[in-house]
Amino acid sequence: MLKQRIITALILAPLALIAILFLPPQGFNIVIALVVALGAWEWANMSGIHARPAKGLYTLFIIACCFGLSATVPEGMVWYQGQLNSTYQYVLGSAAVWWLISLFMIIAYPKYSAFWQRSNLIRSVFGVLTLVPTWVAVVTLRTSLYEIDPYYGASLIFYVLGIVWAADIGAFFVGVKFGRHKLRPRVSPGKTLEGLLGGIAASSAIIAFAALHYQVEPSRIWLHLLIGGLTVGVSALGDLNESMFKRCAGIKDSGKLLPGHGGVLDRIDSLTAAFPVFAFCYVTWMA
Amino acid sequence: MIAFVWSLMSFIVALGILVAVHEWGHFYVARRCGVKVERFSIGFGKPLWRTHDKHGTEFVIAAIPLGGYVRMLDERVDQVSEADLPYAFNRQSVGKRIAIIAAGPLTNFIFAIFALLLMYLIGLPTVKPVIGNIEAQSIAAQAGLPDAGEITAIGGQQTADWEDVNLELVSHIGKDAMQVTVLRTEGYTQDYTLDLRDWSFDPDSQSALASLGIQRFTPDATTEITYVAENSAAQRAGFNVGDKIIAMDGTLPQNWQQIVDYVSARPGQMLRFEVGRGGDIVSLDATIGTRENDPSIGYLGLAPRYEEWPEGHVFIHQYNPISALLKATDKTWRWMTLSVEMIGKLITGDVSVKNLSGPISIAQGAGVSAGYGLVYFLSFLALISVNLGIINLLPLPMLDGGHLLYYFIELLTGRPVPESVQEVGFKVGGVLLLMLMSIAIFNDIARLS
Repeated sequence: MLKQRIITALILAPLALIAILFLPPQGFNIVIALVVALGAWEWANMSGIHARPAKGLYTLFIIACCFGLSATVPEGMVWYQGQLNSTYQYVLGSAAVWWLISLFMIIAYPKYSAFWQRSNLIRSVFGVLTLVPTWVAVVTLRTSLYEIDPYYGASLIFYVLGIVWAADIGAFFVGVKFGRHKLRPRVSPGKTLEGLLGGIAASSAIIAFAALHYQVEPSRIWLHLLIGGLTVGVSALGDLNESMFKRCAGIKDSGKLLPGHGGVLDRIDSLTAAFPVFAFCYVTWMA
Repeated sequence: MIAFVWSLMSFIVALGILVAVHEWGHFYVARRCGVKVERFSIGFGKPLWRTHDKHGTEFVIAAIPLGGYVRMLDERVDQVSEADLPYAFNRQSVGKRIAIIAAGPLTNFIFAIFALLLMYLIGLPTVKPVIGNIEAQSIAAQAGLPDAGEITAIGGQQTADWEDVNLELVSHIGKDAMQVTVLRTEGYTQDYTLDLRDWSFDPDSQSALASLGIQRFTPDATTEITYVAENSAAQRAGFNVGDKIIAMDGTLPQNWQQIVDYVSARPGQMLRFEVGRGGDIVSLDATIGTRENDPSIGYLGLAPRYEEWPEGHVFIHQYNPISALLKATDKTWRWMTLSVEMIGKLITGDVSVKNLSGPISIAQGAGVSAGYGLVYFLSFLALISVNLGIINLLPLPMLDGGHLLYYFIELLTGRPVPESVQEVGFKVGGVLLLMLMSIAIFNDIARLS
């Protein structure tokens, strides 16, 4: 299982790397839209939509949203004179609100969950709010300062990936090596306090490295840290959010596309929260 | 080396007291709420000393003196027998849990009040905030501040001594204007408005006062000698206490500063001094030494006699018990609000993270204040106690404030915040705390070198 997992990761990671670094913006947009579309196919399942034609329709709708945005706002116009396109801003803003609502839903669960648990429509809408902003956020970051430095946006994407993955990887290895104090023995026996601290330390290292790399001015270090910390936290939220919907739908893996990892959504669940929230904060305070 | 050991000792004593106070707050309220306390530890890590009381609480002093903890019976951590369930922390009502957690910071504030009360009862020697000089073209000069007179209030807050003045100046960081009330030598008070929009100062290299162009009044130094350092150039040249320097290399110094300037610029040179000694004039030849820490600066090893402070400038802040309590409460409250303002300014960027201090700076502060005497150490303890309380109330997971946040949410939703969500908060708070501590320690080290 672990071997399979690592092999899959070793194939996917270079592909992601190549896509982020070498694809022209237009091609990159399409690739991200396709990944999001795969997520949509699985989300349909979690929303209680099981008929293939309906799942296809839902997936098409998500793709249409991305391509619709792409068609109305050409790649060169996503950022215009240092300002993000206002439609994009609204999408990111609604995503930030959605994740706040999601936080409350998770805190209160199963209280107040009746209204959305029974409705396939509402759960589908939640999927739109999760998936479309992810695409918008990745495109926003990728095209940021593109005319000045075509790789600047790529570095931002790597930064977010770094924060999220460092938390997982740090937690995994420190947990395996030093894990002694169980965090919640009954719910998730694998998690240890040491692992959690390892994840925190690893993410912090990435955030500190980014502060040096981007030469954040001292008066804004706080914001930089706050956004970094928020991204770490919200990525865990993405995970919990997906788990909550999976539990409602009574499924364990969102799909079985990726050997050893489950579905696409299982792999990108943290990112569907981390990218929109990071992009929102970045656009609002740092750009 | 001795300074280092002294700082370290003072730091451990100060931190030990404050940690004990904080944890005792948790401990006391937990007991009152009927929670079983398993361990009360000052310090982390390996226990150095331990004892038990009749309720089964273990009291421990542990090896790493950077904090402490109170461990209460809790189902989430240990196996709790059926009979002990009512004494478990997690079985208490939200109200009780809030009380137990809030008691720590609260006790820090109460302790600050008591430390200051004691300080005001003993009496604190202070200097009236009288202006000595206003630097030309400075912000103070542009506001027309007179170069004499007493500062009685800033921004409407009374200022009894220079420490009050400093506190109020710092609280105006990031603001556009500041009102300074001065009791002029002519006998009437006048308000001056300082334009702070161009005010920038680095707390590490200068004081807030100096950056505005205000100099304190200090008595002039005379040319009479009150101290001759052991094994110094001055002692070898034959200077005595009571000598009055009349001339050096044929020039007649008007004041002490001229002597200092002249000597500092001539390390290693031979200078001839004429001093008045009991009615005679004696010639002394001195080979100027150098400063220990900087060989390029000349050093003689003399200290001058200062003119007496004018009547009423130096006084002792001492109050009767009731006024002392009021004053101590007032000051603690001012420090609390100021700490919160400062955290706000850190976030808005008005105060740079470069100004964060960590344990090393606190240790130095502890050593310095302890060296001045008990009243200064009390004041320092009170200040750090307030800071500790405020920092602990920040809504960051792992701190008391983080727990309180979860309990307040529980109060609203009627059920505990799920542990999975607590973990999310733990991550955000963990990253922020780790980074803040790193920055603070990094700043400390940068300041040392």
